[in-house]
Amino acid sequence: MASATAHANGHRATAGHRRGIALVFVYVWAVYALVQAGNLVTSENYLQALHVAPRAAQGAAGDGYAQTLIKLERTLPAGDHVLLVWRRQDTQPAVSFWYGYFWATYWLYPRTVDIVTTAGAVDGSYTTLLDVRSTGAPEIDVPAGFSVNATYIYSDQVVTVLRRDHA
Amino acid sequence: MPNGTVLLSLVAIPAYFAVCLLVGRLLTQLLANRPEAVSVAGAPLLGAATLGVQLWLYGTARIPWNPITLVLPWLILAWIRRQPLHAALVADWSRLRIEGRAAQALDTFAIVVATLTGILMFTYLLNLITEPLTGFDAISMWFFKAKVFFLSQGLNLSSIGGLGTYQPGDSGPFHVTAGLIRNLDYPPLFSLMVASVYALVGGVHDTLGKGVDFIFIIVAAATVWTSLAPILGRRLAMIFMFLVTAVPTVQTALDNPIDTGYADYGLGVAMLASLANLQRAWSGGQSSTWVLAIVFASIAALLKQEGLLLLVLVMLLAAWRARQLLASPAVVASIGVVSAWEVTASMHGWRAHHLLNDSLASLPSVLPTRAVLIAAYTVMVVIHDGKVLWLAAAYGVSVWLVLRGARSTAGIVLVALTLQFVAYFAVFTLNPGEFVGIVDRLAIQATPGLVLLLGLAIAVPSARSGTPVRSLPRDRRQVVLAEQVGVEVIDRADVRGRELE
Repeated sequence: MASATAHANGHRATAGHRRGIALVFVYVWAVYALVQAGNLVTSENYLQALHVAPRAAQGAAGDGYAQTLIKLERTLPAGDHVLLVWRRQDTQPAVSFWYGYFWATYWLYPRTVDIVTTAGAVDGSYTTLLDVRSTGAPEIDVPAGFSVNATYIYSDQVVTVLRRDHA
Repeated sequence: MPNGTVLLSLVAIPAYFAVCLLVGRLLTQLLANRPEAVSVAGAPLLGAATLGVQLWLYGTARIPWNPITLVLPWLILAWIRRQPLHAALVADWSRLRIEGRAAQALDTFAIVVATLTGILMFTYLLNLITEPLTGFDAISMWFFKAKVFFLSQGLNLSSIGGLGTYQPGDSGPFHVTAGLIRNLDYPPLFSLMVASVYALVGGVHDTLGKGVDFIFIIVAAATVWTSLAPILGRRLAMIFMFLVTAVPTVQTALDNPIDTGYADYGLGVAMLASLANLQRAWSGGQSSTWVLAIVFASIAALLKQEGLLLLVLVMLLAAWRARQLLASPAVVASIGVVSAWEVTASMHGWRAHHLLNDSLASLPSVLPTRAVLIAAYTVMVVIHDGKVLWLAAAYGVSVWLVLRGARSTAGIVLVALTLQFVAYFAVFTLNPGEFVGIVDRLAIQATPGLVLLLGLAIAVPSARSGTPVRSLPRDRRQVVLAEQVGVEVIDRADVRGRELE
């Protein structure tokens, strides 16, 4: 009987010991998270976040191409059919290509967007051409029936918007 | 002067939260007259998911998506059920007041932690509604689908696959279709939830759409609190509530613009809500906890495919321990929606990612090496990435406590999470895909569940499972002693709530 009681007491003590170690872990983790969260909270510029319109923040985010899309989102007619001519030379061409495609299809939706990597003959259904090239690449030959609507020049790229005449 | 749009957003997201809470509370009240606190904690998530599914049904029935069509049915239901709903809300409010009064007795450390938790939540909210939308998957997939759904007023994925990649006649240098990259087979609920925000405010507001994550962080905190406070005491539960809102993986998901707008954190919180209810159900809680464990697991499965495994596990456990509940309307509806999605995706041929990319004959030679590589890479990530290291340590401590302890209440949660991790490992061993880039997201998914697991593992088993009552926190002892002798502990506000019922 005494042995069983001693065994039970020993078991309880070991369990308490384990729980104590686990609690130390929890408190150390909490202090670590406290430091991390403290960094986040103290580095946050609340006043700036409160004062800048989300649309303005979006318009200034990303590279020149992304910023141009925000401008076009607000100005291109909703029914436009857009051909994106992606001529940027990036270190990861596939990633860059899909970036170009997804960003255009997202920001310009519900306008339909197709993509090509070289400027060639343009299908008659397109109303807008969006030429994106690295700085230093030759300018696009303006296809017949189109004229340059706007050109946005950034340090690493040039985005040219061409609109079909009378579109 | 603060920007008007920001101020409106700061009102709009809490208003969206209030609508979700109302819908979720109506539904939980239909499930149980007095649902357990842990079930009530998930009500906003239940409401948000229900609004998303409601839009899906509206799209099928060609009912327009706008604030009136979305909210009116719930206002009518709330009017019909006004007395029990009022009683439920009064009871919830009284619970909150009790917690608020008790918080005054917390020590300085706990008060600092509680205050920082509140500031963090506000910071997340502010960042969600002001930071630009820049995440790759958010733009290519989750928010793109939300935009398409809202503007076409339906779950219109067929049109996405058909969106042109190349000019007709041009093959292009990259031979992957946009439909595949956009993962059309991924479940639609997260995008539908974002679309429900658009429907309520009457237009596409990209940054405001990210506000749905605010629901998740509140539900995570409330679920951890209601699960752990009764067994750990308020001070320790407060620390766990802080952890579930503040650990770096959560900061990444809610504060880093390139990582916000993804479904992983939502999935983690839906799994947390399911696990918390499962744990209560397993420990002899109300029958509604079984039902809600299945409902939240269904929400997880509708947020991302990774949630399917948990749903299967919870269903199996329910079939074993509470078979009669599988025929309840809530369970049938939840499983029906998940099945409807799986059937829809299969019918449209959206099964973009196959589980098995190798031929069966090559598997014996490929799998062992791949398994070793993935295991080695996982170990390397755990060692080198501080965020993951803490989570791995939390899991290790939990396993140690559960395996060495007797009758731990955390056992079932440990089993569920471990099976989830084994499934991740098995899936990536069969099809490595983008494993290297996905570990961060898996860590985000696992974070809420791991925090709950550690809290449960540390808890001394409840009086019902034989542990001396004196081991429990002081504020819990009285309740447990009363339960042991068959006396129900109720407070005055609860009595008032019952009178109204």
